[in-house]
Amino acid sequence: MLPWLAERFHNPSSLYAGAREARMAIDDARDTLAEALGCLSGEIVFTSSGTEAANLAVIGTALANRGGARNRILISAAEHHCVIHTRPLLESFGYRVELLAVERDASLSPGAVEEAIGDDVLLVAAMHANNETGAISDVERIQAIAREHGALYFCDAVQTFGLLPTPPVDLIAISAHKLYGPKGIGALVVRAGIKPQPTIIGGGQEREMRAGTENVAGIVGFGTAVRLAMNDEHRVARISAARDRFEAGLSSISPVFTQCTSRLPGHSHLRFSGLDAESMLINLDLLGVDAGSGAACSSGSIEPSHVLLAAGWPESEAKEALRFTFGKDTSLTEAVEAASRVAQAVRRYSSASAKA
Amino acid sequence: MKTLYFDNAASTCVAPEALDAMLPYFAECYANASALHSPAQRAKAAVEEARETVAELIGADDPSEIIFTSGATEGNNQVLNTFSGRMLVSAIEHPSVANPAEESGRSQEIRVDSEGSLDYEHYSGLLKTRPELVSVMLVNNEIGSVQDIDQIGTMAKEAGALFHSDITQGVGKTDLGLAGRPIDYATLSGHKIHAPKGIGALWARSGAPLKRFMVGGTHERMRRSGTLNVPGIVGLGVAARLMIDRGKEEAARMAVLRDRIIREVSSNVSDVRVNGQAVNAPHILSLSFYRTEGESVIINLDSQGICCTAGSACSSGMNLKSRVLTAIGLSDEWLRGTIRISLSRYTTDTEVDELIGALTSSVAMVRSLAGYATG
Repeated sequence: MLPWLAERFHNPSSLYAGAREARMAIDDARDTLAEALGCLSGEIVFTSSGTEAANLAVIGTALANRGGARNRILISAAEHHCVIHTRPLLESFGYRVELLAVERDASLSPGAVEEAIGDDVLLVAAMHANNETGAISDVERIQAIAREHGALYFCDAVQTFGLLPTPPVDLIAISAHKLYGPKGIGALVVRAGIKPQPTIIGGGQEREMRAGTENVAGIVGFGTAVRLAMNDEHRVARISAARDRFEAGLSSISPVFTQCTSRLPGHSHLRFSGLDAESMLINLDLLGVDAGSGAACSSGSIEPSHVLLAAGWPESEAKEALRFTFGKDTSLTEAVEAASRVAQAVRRYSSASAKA
Repeated sequence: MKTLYFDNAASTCVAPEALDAMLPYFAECYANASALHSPAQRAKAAVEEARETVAELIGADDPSEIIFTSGATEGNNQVLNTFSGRMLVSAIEHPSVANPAEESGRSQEIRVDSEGSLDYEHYSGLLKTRPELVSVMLVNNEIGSVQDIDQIGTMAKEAGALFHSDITQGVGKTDLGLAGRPIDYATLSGHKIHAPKGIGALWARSGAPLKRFMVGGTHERMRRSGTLNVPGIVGLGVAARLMIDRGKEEAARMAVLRDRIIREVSSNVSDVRVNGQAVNAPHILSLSFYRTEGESVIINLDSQGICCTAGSACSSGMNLKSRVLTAIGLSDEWLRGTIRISLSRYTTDTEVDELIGALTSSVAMVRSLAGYATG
C-alpha cells in the first residue's frame, strides 16, 4: 500500500502515466478478488466498507425494482445491523419486509426460506456465517431456493471471505479489514445482469455503480490481503487449532459453548452461567485479553444482542455471551494463555459476586 | 525521468507527516474503534483527536458536528439525499452534487457568469421558488473560481433555505470559520489536502437535518455506519493540522507561482486566455489555448513527465464537453484547448520553470502539426 499513498498517489481517473499505473493497480486487485471469488472482474464493485456494500446490495436492489410485482423482501433475523437496519427504508419504498426466524446457533435453515418464499419475493438476504456465533448457513441451498422462485439472493460473506470458499450467489458483500486488509475498503459482487441502483453517484467510477475517487492504496491492500489468504493453505487449520486449544483450556471452569452445526474456524462463542458479559470483558481487558460480546459496532450499548434474541435465547443468557475470535497469527501458546486468563477472570468475578 | 506533478486538484500526495502518523494504525493499533477493550479505546481516542482538528480547520463550533465519510462524493450525496423538496445548485458543481440534484428531478441550476461567479440576479429569481436547499461549491475544481459563500448563504437564509457548500477545493487555503457564517453543511475530501484517498468529512451544523445515509451500526452518532477507517481518519487529522499551521502561507506562495505561470505563458504563447480569474483560488489555474487540441498538449506533456489535465480527473477520457467551461460560456474553439494546472505546497520554483518551458513548446508543436495560423 505504501507507494500508493506516497509517491504513486495519482488519481486513477486522470490520463497521464502515473494515473494509468494507479488504474492498473486497481485492476490487478480486482482480478485477484475475482479469482478468489470465482466471478468476473467486472462484477466487483469496490466500496468504502462491508456496510456500504450490504447497503448497496439491499437498498440498491430495492430501489431499482420499486413498484414492481415482487414486493416482499426476506431477511434473516440474525443479519448484521447493516442489513437489518435497512428495513424501515425498504418499507418506506413500499416493500413488505419479513424477518426469517433463525436456529438456536443463529444460522438460517434453508427450510425457513422455503417456507416464506414465493413468486412475489424480490430479494432474500442471509449471511454466510454469523458474526457473533460464527454459525455457517447453507447458502448454496438458499441461493437455489431463491433462484427457483426468481428471487435475488444477497449473501453477507464478510466473516467467511478468506476462510471458506465463497459460494457463487447473486450479490456478495465482503470487507478487507476482516482478512488482514485495511479498514475503509470493501466490495460488492454484483453478478452480470443484476443492476442495483447506485447509492453514491456523480463521477462514474466503478462502472457507474459507486462514485468517488478510488481508494487506490486501500484497494491494493485488499488485493494483497486476498492473495495472501489464497496462498496460505494452512490458515484455517492453524486458526481452528488455536481456537480448539483455547476451548480445551477452559474445561475446568465449565463454559457453556454455543453449539453450532457448522461454524467458522476462528470463532468461539460461549457464556459463563451467572456472569455478565460486560463485566467479564472489563476483567479480561485488565488481564490483557481483548475479546467481545456482540458485534464491535454495537459495543457500548447495553441492549442484549439482537442476534441471540432472534436465535431464541433468553435475555439473561444473551447478556452473558462472549465472543473470542482467533486469527492467523494467534499462537497455540497465546491460546493456552488466553484460556488461563479467562479462567482467572471467571474466578475473580465469581468470588467478587459471591462477596457482594 | 522525474515526474512534475501539476494535477493537485485531482489528487495530492499524502504528506509524509500524515503517512507516518497513519502507519501505527495499520500495524500494531489495528483494533476496531467501536470495541470496548484498551487497544480499541486508543484507536477511538485518535479518531476523536482528528475530529477536533478537522473542526478547528473549518471553524466548526463542536467537533461532534463532524462526520467522517469515505470522501466528498459520499458527503455530497448524503446532504442532497436529505432533502425531499426543491433544491438549487450552481451550474458548475462537481458531478457528486450535480448528478444527485438532477436525478432528484426537483433541482434547478443557478447560472454563473463568464468568470465562473454565481449569477446573483438569476439566483435571486430562483429563490422565489422556495427551495429547501441551496448547494454552491466554495472553489470550483476546474477553473478555481471562488464563490462568496457569505452572500449566497445570507440570501438562502432570507429565502428560508438551508445552504450547503462543497469546500473540497478551498479547504486549508483560507480561514473558513464556518460556525460564524450563514452555512449549514460543508463537505470535503482528504486526498485533496495531502491526506489519503478514501476518507473525507461532512460538517452538519447542530440542528440541521441529516438523513442517515449508510445504515448499520451506531457509528458516528447514528449518522454514518461502517467500521471507522482509523488510519485514514488519523491521516486526515494530521493533514488538517498541517493546513492550520501553514495553509495560508502556502496559499500565498502558490498564488505567486500561479501568477508567474500566467505572465510567462501569456508572453510566450499567443491566443491564450485565463478562465475564472476574477476571484480565484491560488492553486488552480485554467488556461485555454485558442483552436488547439488540449488532449494532445496533455499527452505531449505526459511524455515529458508532466502531469496536468484537460478537465477534472473524474471526466477524463470520457470525451465529454466540460459542463463548467460550457457554463462560463466558453466557445468550442477555446474549450477544446483548455488545460488545468494545479499546485500544491510541494510545487517548486524550478518545476514551474520547467512547466512553463514545456507548455510553451507543446502548444507550439500541437499548433504547428494542426497547421494553426495566428491572427
